Amino acid sequence: MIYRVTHLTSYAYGEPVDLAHHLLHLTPRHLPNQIVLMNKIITAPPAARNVTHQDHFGNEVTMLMMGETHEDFSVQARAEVDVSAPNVPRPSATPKIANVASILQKADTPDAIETSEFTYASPFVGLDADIREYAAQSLSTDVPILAGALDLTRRIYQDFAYTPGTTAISTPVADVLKARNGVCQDFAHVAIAGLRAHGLAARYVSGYIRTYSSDSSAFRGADASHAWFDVWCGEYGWIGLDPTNDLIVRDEHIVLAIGRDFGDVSPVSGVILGGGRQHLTVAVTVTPLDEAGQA
Amino acid sequence: MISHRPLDPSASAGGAVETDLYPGAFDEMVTGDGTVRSHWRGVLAAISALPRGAMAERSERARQQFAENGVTYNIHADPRAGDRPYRFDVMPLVIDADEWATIEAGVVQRARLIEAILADAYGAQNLVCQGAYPSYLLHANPEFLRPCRNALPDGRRHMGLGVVDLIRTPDGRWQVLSDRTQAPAGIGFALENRRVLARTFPEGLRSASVRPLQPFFDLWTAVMGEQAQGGNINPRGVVLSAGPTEDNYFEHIYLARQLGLMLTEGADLTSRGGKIYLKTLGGLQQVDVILRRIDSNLSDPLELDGDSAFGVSGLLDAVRSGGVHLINMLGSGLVETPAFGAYFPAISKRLFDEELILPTLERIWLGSADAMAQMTKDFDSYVIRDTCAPRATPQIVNHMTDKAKAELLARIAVDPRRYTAQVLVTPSVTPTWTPSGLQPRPVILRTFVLSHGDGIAVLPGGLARVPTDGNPFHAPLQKGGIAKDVWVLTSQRASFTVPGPAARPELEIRRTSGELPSRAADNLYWLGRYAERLDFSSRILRTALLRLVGGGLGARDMLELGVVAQVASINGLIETQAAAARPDSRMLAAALTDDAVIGALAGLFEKTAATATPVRDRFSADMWGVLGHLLNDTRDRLVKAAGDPDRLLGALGHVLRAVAAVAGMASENMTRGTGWRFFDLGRRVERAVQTLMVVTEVSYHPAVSVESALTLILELCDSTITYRTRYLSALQPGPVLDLVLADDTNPRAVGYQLVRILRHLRQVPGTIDTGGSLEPSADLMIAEQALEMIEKIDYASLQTLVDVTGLKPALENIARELQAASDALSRRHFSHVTTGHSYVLEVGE
Repeated sequence: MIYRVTHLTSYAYGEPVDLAHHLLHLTPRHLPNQIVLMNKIITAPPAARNVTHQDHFGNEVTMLMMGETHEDFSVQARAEVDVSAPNVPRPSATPKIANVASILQKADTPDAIETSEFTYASPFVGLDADIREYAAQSLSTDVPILAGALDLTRRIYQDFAYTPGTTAISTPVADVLKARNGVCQDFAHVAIAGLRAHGLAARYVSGYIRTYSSDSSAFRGADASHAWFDVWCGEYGWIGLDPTNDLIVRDEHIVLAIGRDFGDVSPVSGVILGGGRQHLTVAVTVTPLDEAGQA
Repeated sequence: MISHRPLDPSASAGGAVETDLYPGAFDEMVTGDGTVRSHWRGVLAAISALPRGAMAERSERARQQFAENGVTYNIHADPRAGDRPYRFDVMPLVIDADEWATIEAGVVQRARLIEAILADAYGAQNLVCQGAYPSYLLHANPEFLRPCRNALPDGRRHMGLGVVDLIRTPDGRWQVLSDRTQAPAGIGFALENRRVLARTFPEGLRSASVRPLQPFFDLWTAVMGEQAQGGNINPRGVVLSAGPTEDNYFEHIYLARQLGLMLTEGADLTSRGGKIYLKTLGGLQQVDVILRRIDSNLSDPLELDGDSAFGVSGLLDAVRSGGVHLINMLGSGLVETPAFGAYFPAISKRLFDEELILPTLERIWLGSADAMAQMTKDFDSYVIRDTCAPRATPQIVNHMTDKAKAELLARIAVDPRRYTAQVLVTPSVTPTWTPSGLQPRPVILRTFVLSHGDGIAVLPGGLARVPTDGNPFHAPLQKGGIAKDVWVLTSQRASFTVPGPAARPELEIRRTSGELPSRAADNLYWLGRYAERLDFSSRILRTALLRLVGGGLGARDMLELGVVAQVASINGLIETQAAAARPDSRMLAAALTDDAVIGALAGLFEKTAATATPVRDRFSADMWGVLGHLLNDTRDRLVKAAGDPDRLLGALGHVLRAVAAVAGMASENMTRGTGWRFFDLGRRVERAVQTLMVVTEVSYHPAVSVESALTLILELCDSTITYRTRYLSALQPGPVLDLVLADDTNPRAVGYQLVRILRHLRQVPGTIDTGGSLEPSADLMIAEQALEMIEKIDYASLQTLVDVTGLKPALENIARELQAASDALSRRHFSHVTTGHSYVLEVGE
């Protein structure tokens, strides 16, 4: 399925900004099941410096600098991406949690060593007894890994209220766990923390989910950038799960960037001089292209 | 077994010789059979040749010199707590040439190994993927900064300056206690130790052939110069410091001077288009190389810790694109984690097929069940360290109570990976002066290594430290301990090859420095204002107290006291209520001497200190000494005099003289550059504002007589003597006001201030972002108007007090103009000193 993505972020500053540095993770990744056909990032005002590099996780980072005084800033990211559904194994066929945890703990192959990076606590994903206990119900050692992760995903979907606008980006996992509400990134962080607390590997995925026009079929998180997680399933590799919508990632998610947590891959961040109070508008549409290339 | 004989006869009488305090320790000076090792004989002979008690006197002189040179840890974090004194022992640690050759080779080898490990970790990551060290040490290490991956351009080094801390085990081998690769401290202290020792114990240095330290610093200076970007003929290097609150701020200033770098904080620098610039009054000036003295994480809020107030947004981007070079590179602290060293021997074999010349002091990372079993079996023989917090205090298990041991073990069991067990060893002991003479004390040797071009150089010396808290595995500089110079002996005068000056183009001769950082100008301006405000406030209080302590309060004293009290309350020294009280009331007497008025003055001292400290590097040692006297001794004297009018008068006299000494030192010793101009501008503006206030308030006071008003104006404006010499004792409004307002030969007059203000404003450089406009600046125009207004007044026509009070609107107008000029100046020069704030777009809204 080929999607056209447009992602507009605009800031109206209360006071002029004299100097701005922005850091963007807005270029979709090339992945086995995701081919980027086109991508473009347009900013207003245009950046005096615009450079890209690949980060530690293989994501493309765009760095912008604006040295002239300005009162608005907008960044429009457009892309066309061909997404195909990955082969997802039957959950019951995946290796047992104990086996996966043991591979990661031994970490004696390059693959396991690289993967073990995603077993540790990270700035937004603290590991403590509470999160371990919450996840324990889903993650018994003799349960197949994907079955356990799916159960955890379903429980987060059921136990946590989806409440856009209630959390700041820095909400610690422990607070989300107590409040039992949040947005997509909080749910992803809870799942990741739960898995890591049991010695498993999980990583944060930032991206988009397909936009449906009718409310009944709409996904949560489709009108902004979205987030979910990947769990490592031994020989089956990384499998994406979306706790906000309680589903396995197939061909309706578009991956922008992968990291340990939100902090590694936030779509738009930066440092500005001035600005005052700011008004932010975000709009995302993800629509399939038909064969003639029309949205 | 150690048994140092007391060597100073004067000390031996009362002091017992301590032996067996450190059983089994290797003795640096004495062999097992009691013979003095040959490389110590020179220094011991030099001591024996000194008269009785000389070493105690030398020690005291050294202490004084460190204090005078401002050598302290943490000079401003808490002004009340004061600085922690630096403890130094005149007895050096002596190391012979052969032994040093081994240490040097070992440190060079280690620096090369560390560079290879860092390059791999931030590059291909083969070592971790092949299992050469555990993934945890990289991936769970807070100093592994992912944004730095692949960021360093080819040919650059991660570690420019490194530290290797050594400890000598009972078998006589030096072993590595820790590696410091982030922004290692201590080299400035090492050099200062040598300088002070050369002055206080020159006989000692002459007694042996000691390798000099200066060539290493010459090399370092040359290395900094080689880092010019894009063919800059005059490369600019800066020290990036967290500022005066930093523990080792003294060293930042010291190194900046030593290496010819400008001392900066994050707010002084800005990143534009992949390059780093210094914000100066003359515009943006490119920076080629940065000696980084703040932690990596804090260095770039854009890509690293977004909450950091110390960094430069875009610094890493500039490094990545080759626009600037850092010593050390961001993320270089990675290998400081105590567990890393355990894997160095194997990595050295793997990469270079070499055994380590200096072994890592044995340690085990507790991330495996085997390691845990090994550690638990012999718990008492280990020191427990935090795997990922290299600066956390190591826990000596053997020193703990059983309860504490059990608790520690339980803590470890929760997540053993977080801990590393290092074997407990007894460090070597070295002779150290104590109140009871020369005694053996444990010692740690800090060595310094500099990577440059294709070479690696080791400072032939170092910083020896005697821990004083019983924990030799942890002697951070700021936690105290006693410092010692390290003498590396040599048979010949070896030295480094320093690239000659011929390689660099000649400098143009300059008489200006347009490169004053804007932040420094801001601080100097306010330093001038606060110092002058301190002067006026002290003078006002003194004028009041002189009347209060003058015996029986006469009618005139009473009246004048009331007027001065009013002025004091306008200046925020006393409460308005107290100023309005009867002049002979207890309330006013108390208000003029109580803690509140002292507190108001102390507040000015603190503001003065807060503006002086960040620009400390711009003052000569003498100027800083005078400022230090004002801000410490004088202030203390004042605080102690609270409640006692007589002592307070004395203390205020000291304040006035100390401020005058600062002004005098500035006028005689500061070059007439932009920095001095801003300092003087501040003083002139404040003096003009205060003088106008005094004239207006005193003459407008309802109860005042013309005699008293004119007396007080002259006294508060320090112009009494000048007036008397001109007009003898006849006080008349016209001549008095001409003297304090218009006379441009009286350095206390408003007119004099304005003339100088105008002269300064015409000389200071334009703003950073003007397009080269030639129009006079707003501050200049306003100041010109003020001068015109002062000169327009017809002083001869002032006959009565009513004539004087009639001037009030005009004088207030001039004061407002001056304030406006000051604001315009701030906007023109200091507004861009502010730093940005970071934001992150929320997801899932």
